[in-house]
Amino acid sequence: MSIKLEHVTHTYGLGSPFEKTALHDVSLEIESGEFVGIIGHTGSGKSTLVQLLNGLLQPTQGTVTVDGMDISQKTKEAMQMRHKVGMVFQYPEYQLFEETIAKDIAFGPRNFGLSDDEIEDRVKEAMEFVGLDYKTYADRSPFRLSGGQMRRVAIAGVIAIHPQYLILDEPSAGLDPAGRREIFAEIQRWHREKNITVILVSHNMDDISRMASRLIVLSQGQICIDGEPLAVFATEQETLHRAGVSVPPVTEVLQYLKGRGLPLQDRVHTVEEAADSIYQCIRGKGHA
Amino acid sequence: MSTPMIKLDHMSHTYEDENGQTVYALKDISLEIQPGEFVAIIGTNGSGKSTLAKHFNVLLVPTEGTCEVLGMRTDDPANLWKIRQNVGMVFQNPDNQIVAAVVEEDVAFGPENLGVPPEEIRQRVSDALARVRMTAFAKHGPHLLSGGQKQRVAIAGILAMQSRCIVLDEPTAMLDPMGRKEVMDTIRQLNQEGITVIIITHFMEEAVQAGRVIVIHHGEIKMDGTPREVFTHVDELLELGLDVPVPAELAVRLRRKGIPLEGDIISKEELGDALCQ
Repeated sequence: MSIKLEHVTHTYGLGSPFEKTALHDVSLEIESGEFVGIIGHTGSGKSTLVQLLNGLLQPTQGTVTVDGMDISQKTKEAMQMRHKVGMVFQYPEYQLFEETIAKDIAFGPRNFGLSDDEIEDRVKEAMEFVGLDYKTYADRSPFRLSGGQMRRVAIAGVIAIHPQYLILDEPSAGLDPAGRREIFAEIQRWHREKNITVILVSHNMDDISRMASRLIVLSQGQICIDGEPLAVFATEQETLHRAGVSVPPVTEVLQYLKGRGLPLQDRVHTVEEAADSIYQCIRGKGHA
Repeated sequence: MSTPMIKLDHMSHTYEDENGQTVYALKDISLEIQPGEFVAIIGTNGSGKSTLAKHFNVLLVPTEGTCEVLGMRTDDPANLWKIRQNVGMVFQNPDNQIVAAVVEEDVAFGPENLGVPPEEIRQRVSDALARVRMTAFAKHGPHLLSGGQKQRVAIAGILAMQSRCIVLDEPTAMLDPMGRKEVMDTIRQLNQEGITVIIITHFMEEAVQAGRVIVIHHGEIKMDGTPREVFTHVDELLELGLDVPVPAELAVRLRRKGIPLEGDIISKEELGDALCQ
């Protein structure tokens, strides 16, 4: 079970004067159950890549398969397979449109032809998942909510289709640190409990380093790094820099201290681990 | 003493919720911002920081108390255009604030509406684009620019109005790290040239670049001081649901583990100095 890209090239405006190749000969396999972070600066091909993963774009060359099925086909089976890939776009709250929160979340399951009872179960489950009380919120207008709550409704709408693969494009942009932590705690829980595959596109290296088990860096339409995040931050600084992305702030501080002669371990996920690392280094030297 | 750029006197802003209850988005805020300051406003979603910023160029007016810009009260309609000419606003989404099909025409939009003579408009536009280092893109279509470049065009539009104050509401939230750096470098440079800068941000590494940091929580000012004064209150900020710069948090955690570190630490250099003595 996997999403697989084989020698995929995508060219916009093929044959027109504005022809532009956004992805060039990319091969990639994301196994079921992985938590993958994708990073790259504007124009690196990230958005094109994720739209290929769920069939919104078709490859100009090469194939995209989900669990072995070529999703560019127009067959019923290929359409079914695309339903397994859920996508949360940037600023998903702008896509809310129904008059009540419950109706908005029900839109996906309803289009998939579920019965009313099944739909209600899905809506309840999705709302519980994103921390919105069903009784309080089901019949309210989504447009009276705060930005952070609206985003939760939008994510619940995708959760309600029970995707096997969940793609999130910058889910934390514009949220405050507390809101960011909450949304990510929910996504991590979903990943753990339902064993779904998460593909997180982000500018925020900190988020990727804390959660993803695999980091993919795109640059000029190609994959320039594919590896375990902490190992990448420790060994690929030069390539990261050339791709226009940076290591997480906590790694940056530790690498700076290392540069000033502190022989410390810089492969850490959190500020807490970083403090431990510095502590051990200082105590080891018999300073304090 | 010169007239403050912004002066709020016991200002509140209320609205009615769906049950008819009065809610204070901002409550009894008194604040002065002097010309030439570089102020960062931080706070969680819903804290009232965007509501506050919208009072600075009369997108909102106080429901209690007063807001003055360069001594002009914002609740007097006669002052509206004078104030908006002096205080320009940049929003989060770079695609929502570009109006023309060519970069230089977009920058010219403001002065054209002020009735500035064409020759002078040309001069102002080319000056403004030079100051944000976008001269090379003057004839480009805005849709071909990166997010950071679009934000710099928006800033140029404000410069062409000869505004004295720029208010930026999360201008980098949608940008990649490179775009964020471009925008912050531009803002810092304009502040050094004398423009008053007020930036709302969730990124603490941006807030530390300001001369003054204001923390808003539940519509009230919780802290107001230099980045050093504010960001050394690590526990309080975390309690409010905000982040702190990594070096400041590391310093607090190390002290708690019994490692004596001297001084107020908010940068990696200061942490390095304290550890490598």
